[in-house]
Amino acid sequence: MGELKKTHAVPAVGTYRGDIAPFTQAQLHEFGDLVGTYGRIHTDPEWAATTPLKGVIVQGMLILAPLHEALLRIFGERWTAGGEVTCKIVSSARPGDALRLLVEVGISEATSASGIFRIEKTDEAAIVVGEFTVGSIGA
Amino acid sequence: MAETRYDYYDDFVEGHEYEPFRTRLTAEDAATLARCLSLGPLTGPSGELIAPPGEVGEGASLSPFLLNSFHAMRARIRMPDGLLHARETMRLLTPAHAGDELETTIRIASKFLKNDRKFVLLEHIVRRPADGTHIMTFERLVAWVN
Repeated sequence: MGELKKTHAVPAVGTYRGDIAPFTQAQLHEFGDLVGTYGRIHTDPEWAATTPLKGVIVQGMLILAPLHEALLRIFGERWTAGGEVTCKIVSSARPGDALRLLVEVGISEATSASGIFRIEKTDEAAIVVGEFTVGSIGA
Repeated sequence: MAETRYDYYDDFVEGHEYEPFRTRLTAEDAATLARCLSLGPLTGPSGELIAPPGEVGEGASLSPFLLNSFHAMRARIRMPDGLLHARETMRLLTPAHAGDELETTIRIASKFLKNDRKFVLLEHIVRRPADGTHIMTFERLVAWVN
């Protein structure tokens, strides 16, 4: 395993990768109560099985939530004060699906940094895609 | 038993702004979010491991994925089942911290038909009423039923 490094606020251009642990039904329930996404498609397996989706799917915002931690590790305060992200939910994931997050930093300068990201299943099927920018150093 | 009345596509008026919704997020809420997800080691372009952020505590900044909750929508809009969350754009302006009272205002930015589906774009502004600071804005595009 490589040496653990803190990024400085102008990280290297390139792709950052991390695995997202499979979500459990209990986590879907807890997240749903926490942020108000407790619709039956996320919390009622019996009902969800009768829908065209044929079962429970993970909330889009729960799938996306690890992006905050990733951008915080990469950019620090440039993300939390001045960051912007646009995401499109293109597919769905189920409890138990293994997912991975890829953040591609395309521009990395003191005055601007931006890139794209993707959350996908292990077979590379995209679940959420999007773009991000972060603020200037010291903004 | 009275039938539940929901808000459907035709009920929305572009430009309508709802009464602000207030909430106060706690360190326990942040800890709950942390329990709901797990991002493993993050590796950089050269394979180097990227250090995780510090521990969440009373003074830590809150994740935007706590701030963009659906509670304001549920408080102001009678949401039927079957909605599809299509897209979200978030702008982080100033960090919020556990214990801050926050106020979310929702405005119907637009509604439109596309590919035989009905979409509603809801603009949210999150501010800290104690000092008027804008914390974040987000636009949520939802495919609505009927």
